[in-house]
Amino acid sequence: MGIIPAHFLKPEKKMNKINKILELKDISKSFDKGEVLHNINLYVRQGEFLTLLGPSGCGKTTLLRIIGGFETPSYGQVYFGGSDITALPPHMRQVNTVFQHFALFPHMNVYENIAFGLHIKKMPKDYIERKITDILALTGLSGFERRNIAKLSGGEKQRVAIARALVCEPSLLLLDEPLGALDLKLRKSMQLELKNMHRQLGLTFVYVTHDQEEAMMLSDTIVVMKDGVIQHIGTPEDIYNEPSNAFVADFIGESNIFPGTYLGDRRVSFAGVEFPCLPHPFAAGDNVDVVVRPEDIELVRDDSHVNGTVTSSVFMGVHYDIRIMDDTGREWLVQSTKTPGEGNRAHLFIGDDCIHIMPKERV
Amino acid sequence: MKNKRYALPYVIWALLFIIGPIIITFFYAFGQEHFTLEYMAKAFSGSYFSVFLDSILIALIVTVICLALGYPAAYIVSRMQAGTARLAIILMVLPMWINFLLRTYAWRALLDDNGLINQLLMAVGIPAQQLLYTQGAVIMGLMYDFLPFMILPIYTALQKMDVSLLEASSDLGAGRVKTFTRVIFPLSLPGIISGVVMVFMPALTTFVVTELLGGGKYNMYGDLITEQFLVTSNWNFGSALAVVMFLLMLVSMVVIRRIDKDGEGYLL
Repeated sequence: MGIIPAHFLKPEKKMNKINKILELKDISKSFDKGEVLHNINLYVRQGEFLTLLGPSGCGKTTLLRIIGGFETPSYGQVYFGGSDITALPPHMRQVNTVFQHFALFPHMNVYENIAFGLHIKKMPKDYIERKITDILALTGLSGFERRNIAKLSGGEKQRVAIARALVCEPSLLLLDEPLGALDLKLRKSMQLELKNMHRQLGLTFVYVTHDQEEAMMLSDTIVVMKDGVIQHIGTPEDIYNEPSNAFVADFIGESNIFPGTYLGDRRVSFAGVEFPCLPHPFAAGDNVDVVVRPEDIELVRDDSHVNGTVTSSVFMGVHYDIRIMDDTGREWLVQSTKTPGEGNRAHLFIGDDCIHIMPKERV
Repeated sequence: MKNKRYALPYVIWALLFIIGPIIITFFYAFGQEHFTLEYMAKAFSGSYFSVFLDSILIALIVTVICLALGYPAAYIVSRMQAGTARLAIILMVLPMWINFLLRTYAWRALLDDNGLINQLLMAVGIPAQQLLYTQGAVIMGLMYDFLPFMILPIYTALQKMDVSLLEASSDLGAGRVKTFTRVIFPLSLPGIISGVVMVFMPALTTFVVTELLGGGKYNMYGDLITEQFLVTSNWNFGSALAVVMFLLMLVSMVVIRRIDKDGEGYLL
């Protein structure tokens, strides 16, 4: 990460909730194969780092392409800064994209690639010169000006792709799994750099990934998607602590998920046991999904709600991943700094505030 | 490398039928027993040299027409769906499966004074035109023969172009025209170069087509060389003319290598 030139710095971002830079209204998209996006409603605030997160085929890339203008929605509107841009072609939008496989122009060197957008906009030569010197410093590419694209490493190509988009000073930067092609170590350091760039430039980022850890680490807001439908929109803490359904809970971090029945009066039954829980707006007798995070389960000395035998216990650095088969044959994952040891008895206590009850997913 | 021995048949083939004949040609061109520049000097003199220049001009015209027709065709086909594109390519290549003499004879029938084209003209009240045995007929025939050789390499270049590059261009603010001039065209250059070479070179050295469609009035360099061997039996002079052609090809190759720095040209 180079030193940020002064004129690249933007005034502190205002976390003004009303300041929606982008708004998607009732977006649906169908291809020949069928519907890939269903009734998407979403807004992005000025200066926000928003991540579209979901497994492959969930429609996150299609949604990003609709924002970029590469696809037109079958139904619904895209608003940018308050005006409808649904029908606007990509080159008329104040949005730039970092493509999944970089999409760098092979017939141009690093400098020409980055200068492309500025040349198209017919910027004065000395302005382009200065802009590119700055952006090269920002992305750690100084001295790479005349390099051939084909001779760059994956990480370098990624930096050029980011520089090429950033140099156009977009109001909104779209990133389509930009780190997907990089190895783990490079990924980690690029994540930090992206986060820093976002903070320092004060731009709005919309980021697509299937990597939940990456999403957690980078985002202000995460949008979890599945089968073209938004499952949950919220801050990383929100989504982790209060997932809106079993899919989100399972996708974000590790979970013990059981089908259960809400009994009413702060009681829920799952895994063959009746537990006290927090009040929920379900009716007594409703079928629900119950999620318990592995780190929320306490291992106690005496018989408890759930009792079983440790089938495996693996040291993970700070904690142990302990797999337990309970006496009714259900498997549990518990994370704890202490382990009873493989083959020994374990007693699981679950506090009422650690039982997350969510509506059953319709299959 | 042990595998080298598998190249042996080709080496023998190349020596016997490529290198050997070239040496023999040079040998004849510079006077068999006694070295002389007489034949070479004649090849560069007056009327013979003007046939050389005329041939280059006609070959250039044919190449330019092929490029002007072939590029849009290749572009349109490259934007088609895979199945439709395959069909379109087969239709374009189909005439190449028929012997070119037959195709040239077919053009004679079409261009004849009483041919189909003139009959159609007369049917709408336009008097019959002299179409056959004109320079236009020669250019037309050559263009028809070589058009597929222009379309195919350009199509290949356009077709393997990553769509995301076009999207990136659009994303960075370039409209259709700028995306074409700054991304599509430069990236299809290797295909264009291949196409130009594959049309220009054979067009330059054609014979027979000029005879059949031009009535022998519009000689190309190929005709001139044929004449020396088959009619006047002046092998020395014929070889000298062939050497001039050989040198032109060498120069062209060097020029192309210069333009096509990355060596991406196909079929070269």
